Amino acid sequence: MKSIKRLIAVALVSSVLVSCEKEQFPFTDVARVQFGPEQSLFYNPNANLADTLKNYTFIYAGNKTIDTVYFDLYATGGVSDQDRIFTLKQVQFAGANNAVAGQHYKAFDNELMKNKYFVKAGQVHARVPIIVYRDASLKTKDVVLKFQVQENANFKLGEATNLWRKLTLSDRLGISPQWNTGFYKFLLGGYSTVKHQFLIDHTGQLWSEEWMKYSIENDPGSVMNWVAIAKTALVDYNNAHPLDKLKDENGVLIVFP
Amino acid sequence: MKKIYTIAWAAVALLALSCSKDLGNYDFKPKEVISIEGVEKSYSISGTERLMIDPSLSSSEGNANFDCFWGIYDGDYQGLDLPKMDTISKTKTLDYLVTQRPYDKWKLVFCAKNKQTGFAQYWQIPLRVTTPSAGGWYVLKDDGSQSDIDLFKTPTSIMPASKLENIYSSYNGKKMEGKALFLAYSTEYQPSSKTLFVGTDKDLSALSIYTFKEFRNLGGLFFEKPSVKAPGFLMNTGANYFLLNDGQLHGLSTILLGGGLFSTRKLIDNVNSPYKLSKYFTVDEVYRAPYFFDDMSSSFFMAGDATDAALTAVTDAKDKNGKLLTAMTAKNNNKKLLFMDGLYAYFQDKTDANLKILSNLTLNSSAFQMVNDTVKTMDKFFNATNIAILQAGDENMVYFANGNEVWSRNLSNKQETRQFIVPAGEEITFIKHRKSEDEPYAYNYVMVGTKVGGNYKVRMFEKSSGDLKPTPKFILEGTGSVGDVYFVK
Repeated sequence: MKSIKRLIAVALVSSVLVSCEKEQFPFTDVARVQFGPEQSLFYNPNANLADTLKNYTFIYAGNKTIDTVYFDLYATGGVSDQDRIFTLKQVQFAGANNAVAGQHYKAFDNELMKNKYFVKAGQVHARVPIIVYRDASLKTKDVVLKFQVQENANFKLGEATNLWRKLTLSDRLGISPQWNTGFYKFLLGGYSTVKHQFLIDHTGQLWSEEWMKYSIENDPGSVMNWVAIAKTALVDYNNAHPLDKLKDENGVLIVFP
Repeated sequence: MKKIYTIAWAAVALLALSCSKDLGNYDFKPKEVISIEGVEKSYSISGTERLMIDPSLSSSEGNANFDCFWGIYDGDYQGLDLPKMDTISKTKTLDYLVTQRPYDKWKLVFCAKNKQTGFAQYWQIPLRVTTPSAGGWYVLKDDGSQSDIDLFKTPTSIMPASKLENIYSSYNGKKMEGKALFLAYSTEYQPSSKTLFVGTDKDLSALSIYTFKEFRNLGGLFFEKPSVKAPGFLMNTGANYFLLNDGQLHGLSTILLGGGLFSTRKLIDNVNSPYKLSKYFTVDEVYRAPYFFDDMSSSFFMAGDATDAALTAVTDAKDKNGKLLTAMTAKNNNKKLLFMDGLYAYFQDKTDANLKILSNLTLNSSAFQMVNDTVKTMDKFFNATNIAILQAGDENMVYFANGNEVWSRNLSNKQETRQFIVPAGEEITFIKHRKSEDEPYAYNYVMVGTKVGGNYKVRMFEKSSGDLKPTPKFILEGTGSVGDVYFVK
């Protein structure tokens, strides 16, 4: 009985004492740096590898010859009262057309860029701007820019799986993830750049990833309208060219389901 | 030892509980009842009017003083998504300037609490907030080139009590271009509102019956404005809406998120053949599928989902040997549609104008069937105008005009009966059968519209065994020529 009483007393007193302890910032460690998803998805475990690969095409950029693609980077190991520069380096990606600094993107060690790659004082997140150029070569081939963070005086490296990012650049139409989602797959069928261009030409709509995502979330009826317009245009085209119906880049007849 | 401790502790706990004071209520007196008088079963009031209710209260406990309050909430809630109640008065007498939006499903809450006993009782009273333009008999009419609407208000019964003339132009500052064609009504097209679609041969107007302001004209109802403005009909089967313009069919589904706009014209086949659908359509009541007739190819088509890009051609019913089981093919039958509704279509042959056929339809897109009744040239129905088939559930009859007479034809035995002769000088411009079993505004009328000079008369006839009663129940009168009449409760 005594021992029970003693146990309860000790538990009570110690819990009271513990509750008085000042909470420490629990993540103090060596400062490390790594890429991550955009901030709104940070606490979504499924988004851990989001944005590892990004595609950018100048097709939807109007007359722009230069544009910026952003990635997200996170510092661990606590905040600092000073801005902390981090360092990026291109790495070659085997079996692809690798982007050339100065031709396809603004080099990471360019004096102007160097100053843009830092984690602000008091922060643990930074947006990483990659400045991309509309080089003529993008009309005929896609190029890949793979890059990773480097260890420097401010940061050690974070998780190995999140040290790199890959950006594919093009100035040609290409399949975007929306094409493979249920609704669009059902409406549009298989992808081809000829079909994609046909949709753009006959509806006057962008058919970019952003446009498709926005339209399906906000006004799916409008998407069905544009597809119906394209279907009608395809029938009319094939009626006008009975011996030369519309085919895709691989010579396969274009159809909408 | 441990066991004994446990039992001992449990015993102590039980003993401790037994010390608690019994606060139970052993009063067997009947429950107090607060009675209320001077409150209607439900209220209907125009927004911006004052709602005044002065109830008198009494309690079964004898003389009592009451604390009261009035509240209001949206009575159309789902599951546990409970609406918030607004307190609108803390006195017994309610004198409240209604500011709630027009809506059928408000609930008034009244609570009276006996100050002496602390007993409180609640009452819930349905409240409809409406506007002067909402509800009644809407008469769409024209003066030959422009259209407007007269509204006959029905505050207490189906019988009109007052008239608001030219209500369309008085709310919109302009009349509608074109001759009056049709009214269509939807409680689903716009969430939380009721939409009246007004069609003329040159425009279409969508308006809320509460504000009576046009919120979309014909062009505004489409993703892409049509170049020709010639509406034929606007109808819906549930969430599927169909609009005929210039003979071309457009669809929209209100299931999809978005603005409720009609898509581009539907294809009629996979080679985009030209077509011109008749303004007459019918609906398979079982599958809620609408059927249309293309006057160009003389063929029937069915529309499934309103978002489908193409119409479905119907195929004739055949037996297992491939022999046709229909009196006439549904495809390229060389006919022009004079009228269609319910399970009947009235055709005229494109080659022989004297060949007119009234067909009884079996609506089935894969086994379409017609049973033909060739109408004799001496039959009154041969030159019928303003045809109206009685709606499903009523007699198997069709009403029509022949000159200045209203006739009926029994569709089972072809017997024709003269039902009404309009007075000299009047010209029949409109016949329609409409009915509703929605109490207390149930009605069942064959409406006969005539024109005399610049004025219209719509005689609302009740039927007795399929025949019109000798005198109409009431007559709607105004200026212009009638295109359609529609009742909204």
